[in-house]
Amino acid sequence: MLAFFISWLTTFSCGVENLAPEIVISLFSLVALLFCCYIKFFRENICYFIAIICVVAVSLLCNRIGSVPGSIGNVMVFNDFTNVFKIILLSSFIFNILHISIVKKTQENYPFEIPILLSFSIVGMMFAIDSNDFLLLYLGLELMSLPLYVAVAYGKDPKNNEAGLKFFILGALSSALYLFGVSMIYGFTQSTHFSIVGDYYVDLVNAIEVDLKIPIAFLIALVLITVSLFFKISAAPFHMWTPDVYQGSSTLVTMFLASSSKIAAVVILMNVLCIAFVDLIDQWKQITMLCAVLSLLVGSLGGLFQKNIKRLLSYSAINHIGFILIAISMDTFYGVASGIIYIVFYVMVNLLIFSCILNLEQNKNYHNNMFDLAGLAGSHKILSFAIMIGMLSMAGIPPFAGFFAKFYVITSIMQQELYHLAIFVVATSVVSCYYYLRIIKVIYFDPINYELDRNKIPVLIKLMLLFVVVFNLGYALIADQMFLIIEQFIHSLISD
Amino acid sequence: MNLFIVNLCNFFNELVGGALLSCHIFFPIICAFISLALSRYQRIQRSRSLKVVVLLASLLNLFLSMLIAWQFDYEKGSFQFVEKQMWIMDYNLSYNLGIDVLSLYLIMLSNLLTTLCIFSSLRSVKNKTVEFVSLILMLQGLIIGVFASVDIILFYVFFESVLIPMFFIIGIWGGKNKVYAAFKFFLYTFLGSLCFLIAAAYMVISAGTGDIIELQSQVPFYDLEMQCWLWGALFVAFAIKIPMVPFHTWLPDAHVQAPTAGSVLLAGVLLKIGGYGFLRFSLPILPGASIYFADFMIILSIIAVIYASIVALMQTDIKKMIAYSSIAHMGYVTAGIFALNQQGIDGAIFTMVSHGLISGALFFCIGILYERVQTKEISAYSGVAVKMPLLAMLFMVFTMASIALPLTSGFVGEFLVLCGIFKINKLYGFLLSLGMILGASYMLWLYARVMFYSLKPNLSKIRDLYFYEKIVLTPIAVLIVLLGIMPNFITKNLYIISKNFEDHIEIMKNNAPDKMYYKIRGGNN
Repeated sequence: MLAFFISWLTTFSCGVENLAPEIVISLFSLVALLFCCYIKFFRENICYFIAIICVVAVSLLCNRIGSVPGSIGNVMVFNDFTNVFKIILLSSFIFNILHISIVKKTQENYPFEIPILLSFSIVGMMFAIDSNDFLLLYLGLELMSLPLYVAVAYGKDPKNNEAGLKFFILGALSSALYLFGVSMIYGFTQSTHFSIVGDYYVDLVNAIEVDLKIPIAFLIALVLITVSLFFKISAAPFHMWTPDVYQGSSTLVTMFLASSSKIAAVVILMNVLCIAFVDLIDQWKQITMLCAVLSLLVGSLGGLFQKNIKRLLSYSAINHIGFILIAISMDTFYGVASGIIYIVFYVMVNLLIFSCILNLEQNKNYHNNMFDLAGLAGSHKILSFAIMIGMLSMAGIPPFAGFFAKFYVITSIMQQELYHLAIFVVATSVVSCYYYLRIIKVIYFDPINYELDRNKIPVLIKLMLLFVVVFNLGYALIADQMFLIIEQFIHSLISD
Repeated sequence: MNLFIVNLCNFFNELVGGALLSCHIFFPIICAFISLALSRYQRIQRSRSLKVVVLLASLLNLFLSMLIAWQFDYEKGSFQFVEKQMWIMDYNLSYNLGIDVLSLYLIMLSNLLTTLCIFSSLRSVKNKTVEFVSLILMLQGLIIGVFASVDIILFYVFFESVLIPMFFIIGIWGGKNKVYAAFKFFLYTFLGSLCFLIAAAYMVISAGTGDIIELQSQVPFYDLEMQCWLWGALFVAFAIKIPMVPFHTWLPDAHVQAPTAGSVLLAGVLLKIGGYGFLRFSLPILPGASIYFADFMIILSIIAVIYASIVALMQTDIKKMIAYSSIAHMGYVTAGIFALNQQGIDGAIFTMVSHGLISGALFFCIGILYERVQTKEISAYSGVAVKMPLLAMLFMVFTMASIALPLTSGFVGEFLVLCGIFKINKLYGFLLSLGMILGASYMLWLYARVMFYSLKPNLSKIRDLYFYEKIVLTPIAVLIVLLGIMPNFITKNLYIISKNFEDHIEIMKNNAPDKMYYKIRGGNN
């Protein structure tokens, strides 16, 4: 049936069949939105239906991995790079959405709209990853963000409203900056297409051989667009919304923000910087590195005094984004490859930790305070082991996956001979290691604060946790394979 | 008998398909994981059998190391039991294992000490015993990995992983200030190791490989300034690990707060990783910088010896005193290494092995006393020899070994180091010998205050050594005396390594410009 659908799409002969995954998910979400209002069975099990549809979409994408890159009028490009990242996005979304079964245990009437909104957001993310044009990117960004504003604000606690409002205002501001930048670029290049914008600089170089001066307004546009994207990935100094939004939203949505939204934002940033502005690398390299250094500083110092686990994780997210920005700003192949490995590792570890937090939230006594976790190792062995592996991995301690991610970034820094940056990265690593270890200390070393009831973790979640833990532990064995896989599809990014 | 052992070796070799070292490393780690996973089932029968399983695994590993020592060819200078497989192709890093004589002795030392630790902890640790001994078993495997890696990044992976079980051992089963000590230990050492990682990353990228043997043929020809920077980064890492005097403040805290087995392993094995690092990385790979900084290192070692001995003199806590004595002894090790001649390096390696045995044994003795009296303050002890003559005798052997009395292994090591240092500069030798006198002062005073004088009334009920404690202490005492009487057993095999190092340094000296040397070293050899 699916093949019939795709062949029908092919008859349009403009390349729409490449959009099949997005079409499938968005159609399903629209239909589900209607059905859920009336059919109770649908409402109860919406997460499983969404998961099934996402698996279908993943299989559609997997089919297309080795084949010829497709495009829709050259404004949307579907090559290996975008396909693989869409698969990663959808897999993390599936992992995420299946946790609704846990949330439903404490909140009986968790609204069905939230998963559907998140799936719309995923469609927007996939659009944005595919796009090769600034305006289409804007479409994707908005579709990604607007449902998120609503999802973050859900809840009766005033904190939820506060988080939603902060996220909305800052996100709207970033969208406005983005549009301003794009309009200025349009003024120079008469087009918002990535390759035409990229060619503009090449034309400048060819036209004015001597004494090249890029128009300052063009650079301002570049800065505006980059800043707006930095808002989305929560790089310092544009990170102010992250702690409050992470703390204020319900943990399911925080998990979504931390994993899917981050992947999408980083990939969009890579697309924009490495395809559209590829020749302006000397200009945006400095901005990116400055923000990376600030992110590392803010992330490591900010997390030191946090008592709320979700705020702590938001500062650790800022820290990791610092690493990813450093990796992106290295213009070598190994730099970008290390960035991609880092984002994959980062998403896996975040899913692990937030899944454990979600499981713990089943308890009435647990308020996301760090000292609620005291002595967890006595009563919840699996969860505490998973959290420990996640924390050690995030700190960058061998032999876990986090070490290899950081190692690749450090070697790419050394390849560029930026020794001071390497020392700085190392110093902030040690500082951030402290608050990761502190969580392990609270779980394992402290005596039990008060009894948290033994949680029953559903089998599906246990399997997913097992997969992520084994990935983290055994990364040393597959380190080579991962690099080879990434090498294969990164060529589409670099060469385009 | 010989034939039987040879047959046994061949059987083992075929059993693991020739990957003897990998088996040696990962067998304890996997056993430890399994036992940690199974320990969540609280049934007592399972717990007792798990304890026996862990002990058997450790004994098997010790036996395996003795087999490796038997099969080892002491005449060859290169790495043996080599396993090499491509690990990360893009940076040319390989999963490369191999041992030479230095690694072999340190591996045997660590196996012996971990087995004895497990054996003693089974009785002395009452709370969560199975988890504790599983962590020690994991530590055993990881430490062997440190000593057996021939690839710089693989070395780093094991080097760091060693911190994790130690962090848990100090943090869960430690004393009053355990959290502070565990964090200080972890973060301090982590900082040092990250500096090592930067230097290693630079070397991997510029030389194009991570293999130590290939690095040895490429990196010595970098210009002196780059070598000095790399050497400085490696110095930070190993100086924190050994520890050398400006970076030593984590050691007293970690030792005092750690449980007995933790202290034994920390002092006996983990400190040697720093010395091993200097011998394996700083000397062969960066010889130019080593020659440049040799005087600096010897002076720092002399400061370590004298300063640590004087500080040890005024301690009131037994464990802290022994911790400072460890710092002093490791000062001899670094002085010997950077004497850069054959006697010095021989002495350094011998001192590492003997100091591992001695301080391991001393910490076991303190643990025995602590178990009975529940305090480590010297003022609480007096006249223990009346009630515990056997402990007094064994403690005397270890004290004499720590003082470097002839007939014990401590003497041989320090004597060789002094020979090496006197060859360079008489003043350095004189100052270093001063450390021997200071060492005698605090150890003898400690022994007298604890063991002699009249028995304190609160100590009248303590019992002499139990059977398991005798089993733990006796082999170490026998080994110390044996090595003291017949040090040739080890030193005849060290000849090859130290000659190699010395020749390597001589070649660099002959090929190198004059500005490599400090003016103080008159070049008298």
